[in-house]
Amino acid sequence: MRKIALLLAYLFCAFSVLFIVLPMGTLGLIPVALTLILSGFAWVKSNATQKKVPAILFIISTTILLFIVVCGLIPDEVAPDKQFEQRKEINKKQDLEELENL
Amino acid sequence: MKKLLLILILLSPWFATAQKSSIPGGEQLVYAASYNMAGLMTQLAQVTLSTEMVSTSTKKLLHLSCEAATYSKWDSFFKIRDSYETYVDPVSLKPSLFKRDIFEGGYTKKEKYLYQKDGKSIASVVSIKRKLEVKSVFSIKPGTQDIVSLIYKLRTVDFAHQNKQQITRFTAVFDEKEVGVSVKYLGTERINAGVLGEKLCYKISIGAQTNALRGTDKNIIWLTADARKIPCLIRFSIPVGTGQLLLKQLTQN
Repeated sequence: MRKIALLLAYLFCAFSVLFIVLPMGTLGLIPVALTLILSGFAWVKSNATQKKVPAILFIISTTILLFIVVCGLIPDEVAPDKQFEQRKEINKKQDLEELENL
Repeated sequence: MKKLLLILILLSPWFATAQKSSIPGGEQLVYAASYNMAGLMTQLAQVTLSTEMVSTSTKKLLHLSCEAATYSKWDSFFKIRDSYETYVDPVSLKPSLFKRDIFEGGYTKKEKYLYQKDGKSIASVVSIKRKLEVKSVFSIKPGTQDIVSLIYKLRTVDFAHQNKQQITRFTAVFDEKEVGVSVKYLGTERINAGVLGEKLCYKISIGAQTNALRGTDKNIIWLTADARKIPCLIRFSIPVGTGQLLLKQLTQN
């Protein structure tokens, strides 16, 4: 049982890292929560000499959780796009010329 | 002469409202667009609706634009820079020129519709992925809107005097095809209207004869139940999932 929990914790921890790399935002909370639960469970089921690995997994997932929470507090912004803005200005002039001829 | 004067006086309030569109120039509505992923709303893009009065040598027009841009964190995965614009009569919201310029993850498409003076046809110019422009003329029903002016046309509907489940029908042109659009009034509802806080809103269901929208009463727009009728929340259901647009900024000059 401990081994299965640990294996799943590894898997969800990998998913958590993947979700951070892909900007999945709060969606990353799902694998992080599962890693926390599974690593906690594995820690409880471990004897004194086996507690190191689940503890490391627990610390990693807590760090990821904090990272997601902090990222969630930063407001999303659209990057300025000079090309897009320039195209808009040019198009507007062309539009007015066309409307003049209508 | 007296009778004529009397008729004019009686009709004056009607003239006053008919000459004035409820859509002001200099308005900007900014929305956060979110997509439902595994039950969690994930913010993907920003949608901006703006209006501006413009003038040619002979007339004044209202420039309506709708822009969608992905947030910077998504740009390296799937960048979207879409622009939909239309120039309409400020009172009737009848379109003269509609333009669509989309960039979606490398895919580009440009469309331009010039509404002909007869009001029965559109001269279009379309180019996909920077390939040759294809020009054509296609006929339309009188009163056909483009999709941007349709959003604003919605705001001119008098929902306050409509009954629940009452349907108003429009025709819109999209991808050079006419699409029937039904607008069903579902009553009023108090909702979290984003930047406006909690507001009493008209709940409107949008149905269209297209595969782009899915489900019955699953595409809903909430308009503030006041004279401005600001669209503050939009929930949509498309073939690949569901999402919403929540008003996060409102500017009116």
